[in-house]
Amino acid sequence: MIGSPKIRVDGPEKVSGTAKYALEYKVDSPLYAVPVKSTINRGSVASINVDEVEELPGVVKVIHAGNAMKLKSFKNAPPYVLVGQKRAPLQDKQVDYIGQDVALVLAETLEDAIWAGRQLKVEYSQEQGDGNIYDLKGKTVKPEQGMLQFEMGAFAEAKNNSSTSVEATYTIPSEHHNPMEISNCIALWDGDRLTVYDATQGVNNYQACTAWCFETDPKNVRVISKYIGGGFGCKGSYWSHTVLAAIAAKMLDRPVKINLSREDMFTSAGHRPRTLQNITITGDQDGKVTGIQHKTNSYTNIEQKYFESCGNLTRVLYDIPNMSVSHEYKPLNLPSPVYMRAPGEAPGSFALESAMDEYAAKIKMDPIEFRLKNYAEVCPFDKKPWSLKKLRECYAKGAEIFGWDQRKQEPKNNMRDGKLIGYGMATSTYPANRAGGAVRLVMDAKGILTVQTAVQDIGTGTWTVMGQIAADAMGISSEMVNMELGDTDFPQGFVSGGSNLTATAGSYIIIAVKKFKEKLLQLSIAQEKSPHYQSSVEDLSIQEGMVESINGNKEKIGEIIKRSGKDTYDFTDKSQVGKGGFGYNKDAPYSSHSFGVIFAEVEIDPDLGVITVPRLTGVFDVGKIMNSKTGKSQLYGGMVWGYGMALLEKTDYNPEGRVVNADLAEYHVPVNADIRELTVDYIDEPDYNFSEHGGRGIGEIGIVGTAAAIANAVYNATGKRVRDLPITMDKLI
Amino acid sequence: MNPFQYSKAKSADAAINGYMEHDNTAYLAGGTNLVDRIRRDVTHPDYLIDVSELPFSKIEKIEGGLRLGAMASNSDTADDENVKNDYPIVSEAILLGATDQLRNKATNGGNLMQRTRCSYYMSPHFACNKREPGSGCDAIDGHNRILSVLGTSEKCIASYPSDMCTALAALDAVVQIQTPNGGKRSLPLVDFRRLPGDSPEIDTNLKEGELITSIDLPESSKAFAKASHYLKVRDRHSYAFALVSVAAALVMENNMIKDARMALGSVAAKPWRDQEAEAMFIGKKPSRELFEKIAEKTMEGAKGYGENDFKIELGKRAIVKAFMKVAGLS
Repeated sequence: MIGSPKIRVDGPEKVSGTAKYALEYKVDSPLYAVPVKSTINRGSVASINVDEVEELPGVVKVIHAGNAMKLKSFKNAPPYVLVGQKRAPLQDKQVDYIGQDVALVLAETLEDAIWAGRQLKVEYSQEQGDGNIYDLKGKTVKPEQGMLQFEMGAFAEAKNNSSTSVEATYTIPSEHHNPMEISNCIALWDGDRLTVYDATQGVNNYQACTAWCFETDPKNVRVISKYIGGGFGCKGSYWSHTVLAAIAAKMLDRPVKINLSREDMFTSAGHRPRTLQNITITGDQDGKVTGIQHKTNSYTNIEQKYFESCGNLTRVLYDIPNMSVSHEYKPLNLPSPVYMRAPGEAPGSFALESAMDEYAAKIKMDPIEFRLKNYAEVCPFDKKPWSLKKLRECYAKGAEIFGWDQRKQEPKNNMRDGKLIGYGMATSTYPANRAGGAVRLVMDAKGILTVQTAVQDIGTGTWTVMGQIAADAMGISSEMVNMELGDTDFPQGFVSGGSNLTATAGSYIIIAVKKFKEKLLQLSIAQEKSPHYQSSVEDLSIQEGMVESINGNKEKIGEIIKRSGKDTYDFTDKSQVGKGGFGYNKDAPYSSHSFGVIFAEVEIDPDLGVITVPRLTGVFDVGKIMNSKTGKSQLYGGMVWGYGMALLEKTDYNPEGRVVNADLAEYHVPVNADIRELTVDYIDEPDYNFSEHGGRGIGEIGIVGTAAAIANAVYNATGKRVRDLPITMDKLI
Repeated sequence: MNPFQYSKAKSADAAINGYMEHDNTAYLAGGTNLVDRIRRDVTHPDYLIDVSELPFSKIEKIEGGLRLGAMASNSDTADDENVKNDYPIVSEAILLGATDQLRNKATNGGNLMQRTRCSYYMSPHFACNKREPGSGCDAIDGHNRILSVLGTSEKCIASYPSDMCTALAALDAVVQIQTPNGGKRSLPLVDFRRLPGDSPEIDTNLKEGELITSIDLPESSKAFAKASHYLKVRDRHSYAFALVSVAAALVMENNMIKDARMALGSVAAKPWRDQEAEAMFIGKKPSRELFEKIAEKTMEGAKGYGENDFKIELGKRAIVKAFMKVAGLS
């Protein structure tokens, strides 16, 4: 069952349009809310023509700092209250960035609310702010967060003693997540109890954050998120739209539907900050690397601490004795950046894996051979054994599938039909993350197992895969499992982020099901009318929904419930992580990471510089794959994202910090015509040292390395090293 | 969006009368650009006259050529047998623009009227002389990668992105117009749109209330059907506006160029034709050297504004590339 290509259980609902997304729930006489955003990057609101706008047809109320319900500040909130922007909206008149909420207009129709929002004239008293993302140097902050400033051995000495080195600076523009579904929600209060239909990667986090600022018990806040139209990291942290809707619903005592626009998604749900990375690799002519220095500059919002941790993977990927990894960021008057698919690793791998390619080219060595010379048999920074590592196998399998032996070592040496052809590769890696959680299991007399846990499916296949995992653990078919997700009324789950969820929820479901089976079998052997009465539990097994003893007696599992005299039998279990931990756990016996390799073929028009990618091949070591269909889709999707990073995506800002291309016409993400042949394969060996089912997360690893593989292929085709993403034709002609 | 009044015109006369009787009026056809601009707080008409059901949706042979109705959809135009056979670059150009869904909705007349996709025009948060005369131009020192290098002014560097009109301009299409006094007039397509000069807010040479009824392709341009190509250069392989496009067409006789047409798209506020450059083809044997010389001449007066500097070189290369293909040399 685990591993089989089961089609998505939510597929029919999604393609027929019956799957309900947050804003599609019907509520009685809702008000429509539209936020009005600041147009200066620093200062304070001096006046707003509230009275005038409240007179407009259909307008019910304008909420602003002068009349908004007061909330508890997020400033001292604990880490589990994960907010994108600590300044809660409309609590004071201060403005820190362009695009900050300064008012909320409520009207009887969405059209009235949008129109009234445009009539709102906000006057400011302006101060000098800095919203310039193009200068990342100057007044920077060096975070002291443990691993983010990492020294091992003596890099300077290694550099002095080396015969060969490469040094280069790589830049990646700011990028926005731009999921199809905009971050919108419905909030409705029933007395002190609030229900929110939201688009979130963490129903429990949105519950915790809402409860925190409204100073209520989390039990009074119910967050429902059954389907999500893409998250990519922008729906993990808590943002202002939920707070605004809840404030308005409370103040006006009516359900509120808040509607952000596509443009608002460029200011109000986070983004990946622009980065500047400088890498030096030192070593010898034979390809043994002796030292690496990886410096990252990025930026953050003046009150936040999120920055891009590009150097993390450098500590993990190669056996290099002398390492110096550092990060700094510049606080700016901009909306806070936040996690965006493979934060740190995706931009970091572009720089590291480009630099590795530059070194290999310099010593004229095959890039795979070069990497194998520096293969890390144990985790380089803590010397722990890997829980399982099959990267060598990935290189071999990938090279075979892709036809790497056809690559010309010398750049600009391969033409086909008048086009320059280039081959490139890059190593991929992503940490294996896992956390704890709780689940309620209910079995009825028909033998149907209901599994309730407050996790959510952000479009990745969680509905489907969790059902397969539960069915496999229980010994029943997946049609006999009824999954119930995306609701905080269920036992606490975990956020969908850091590619953790399948390992997290999959593991705690397996642990719970094992205990549940034991309890059911205990119940069975105590029932006088059971065919297994007074058997030993060790002699019983459950397969295909039948309880079977070693002497051949069997019955349907539901019979146990029938005889119990109750309609159902249920059990709730909570487990924490024994091994690993969500992030890096220094007490874990193993270091757990996923690995892979990406190969790219590019075809470049020598006259126009137009780049086509006829082939992308990825081979991954991600433990056991839970579902070969949805799993491959995740890896394909990651590689498509990497294509976008390499060749298309870029958010332009003006010097004050306003996004210039705040729409999907000029912010380019890949379309079908861009993506030609995609091949994904994997080693599929279970990593039981890491998770109960042997799987590791696969949501992000496909991105990591893809941009570098394409950039390296561009070098191989043209002899030009483009170190500034995206790689566009103007950089090649 | 702002409140506006809407009416559907039953006849061209009624549409024009409606236009003249109300203030701040706009004709609405497919709406693929106008509605976007209204939603984005860029355009604020008080009165919309829906002309989509006026009887201008035919594509028909007329004396002297082929008539493309102003209300015919871009899709129907691209798929029309006469267009495909006699004026193939028109079909090519249309099919390289937008998406199926947009082409089904968009009309030929509307395509002529679409405004620039300059990001600074498309958002009320920026200074833009085209959107708000006198407010300045944030694009000149800004992110102007997609904007013009030819025919710009210090007031505006907006580009006109239409693929269809670039091809139509190359083939000497003529715009047929009904005027408010009940008359008719025509304008060569290449003169339909204006360069920005001191008044970038005025895109076209249409006068108040005038209505486009058709775009006519001359019989004589059929001669280019055998050797023509529409080259569109863009970052994304579909669903992206051109950075540079070239409509290239030749008539060959005894291995010599007898006649030539060349129009560039997305490099100026109008489809760009340079008749001096076109004259350089005539009577010559096609070669890379010739095309390079013509490309140099065409881009002679080009001016870059930073991010779009590359479009000058890219434009030259695109001209050479397109004509090498048309001449069968690549």
